[in-house]
Amino acid sequence: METEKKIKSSPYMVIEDSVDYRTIAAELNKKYNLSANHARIRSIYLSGMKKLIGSTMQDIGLSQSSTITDEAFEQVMHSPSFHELMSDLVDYIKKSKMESK
Amino acid sequence: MKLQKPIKAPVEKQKDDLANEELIKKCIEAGRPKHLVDQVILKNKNLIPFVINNFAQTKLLRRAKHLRDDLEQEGIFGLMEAIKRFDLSKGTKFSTYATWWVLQACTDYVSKNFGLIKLPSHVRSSLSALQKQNLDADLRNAITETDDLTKKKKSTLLAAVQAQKTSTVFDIEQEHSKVCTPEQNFDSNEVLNVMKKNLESLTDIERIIICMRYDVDFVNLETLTKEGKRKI
Repeated sequence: METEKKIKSSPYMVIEDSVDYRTIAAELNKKYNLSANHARIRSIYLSGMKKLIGSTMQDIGLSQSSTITDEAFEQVMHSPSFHELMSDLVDYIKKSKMESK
Repeated sequence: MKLQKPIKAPVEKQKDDLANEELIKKCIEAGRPKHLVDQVILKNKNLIPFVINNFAQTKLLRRAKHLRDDLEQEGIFGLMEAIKRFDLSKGTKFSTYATWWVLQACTDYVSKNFGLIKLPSHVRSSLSALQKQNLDADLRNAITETDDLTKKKKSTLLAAVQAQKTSTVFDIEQEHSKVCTPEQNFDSNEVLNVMKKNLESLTDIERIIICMRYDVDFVNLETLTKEGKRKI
């Protein structure tokens, strides 16, 4: 009997005005002599986001622990409104840093 | 006293059309040199506003109606493509052929730039074709029921449909434009503050990469240069 392979389906997600992993890796290598390729950058980014989302969900009261499941993480990462919020946050931090200088 | 409508001279119009067709013929026969292509573009420039005005009622172009200059620029690219591909032996008028290229360039520009989630053109075209075939039915059911597509293609289309649900910039703008109650406003501010606090608790390299991902290059990397190598 033939077994059907499960096809992983993930929607395309490209953030407007975002920087890709290869550029980040190249920039870090060039400026600060840090040896990391695009795959390493991606894994660091995803682990960081997982921590950030988990701890935020715990603080808000949506979950009891700071660790979240892979499914929930994927769902959050695929929502455009979340990325909007993240870009707002980063802009906010940038502005506050500029003002403090 | 009533003003009389200006009477158009049909003879002049015919002359103009003929000149246009002759110019294109000359251009193609000479191997499409640059100066003749420029002349053809200038001659057919009025086709672009005509296309934008007439097809602005379609869903895609209505979104970018306020960016008329950008659309006109894209229309010129479409016109150039039409000149490159026009075949005299088919016996059609150039303006008929170029209209579709101008429209294609404009719609392509809008669909490329006015969505938060970008889809490849083959996915977009197959989705729109399915939508035309099944106007009343749900698009997901239409994708699963068709036999023409492979499994892989079906899964990518389904994923694209799911992603497109609330993905346009306009939807987000509409959401923002809705009047927020003070409680909702407080909630969003609270989430931002919590996220800011949690972002600071991450390691340097994680924080820097997340910030760089969102196009910000402001982080002080002194700590990273000292300890970064070890951490990576």
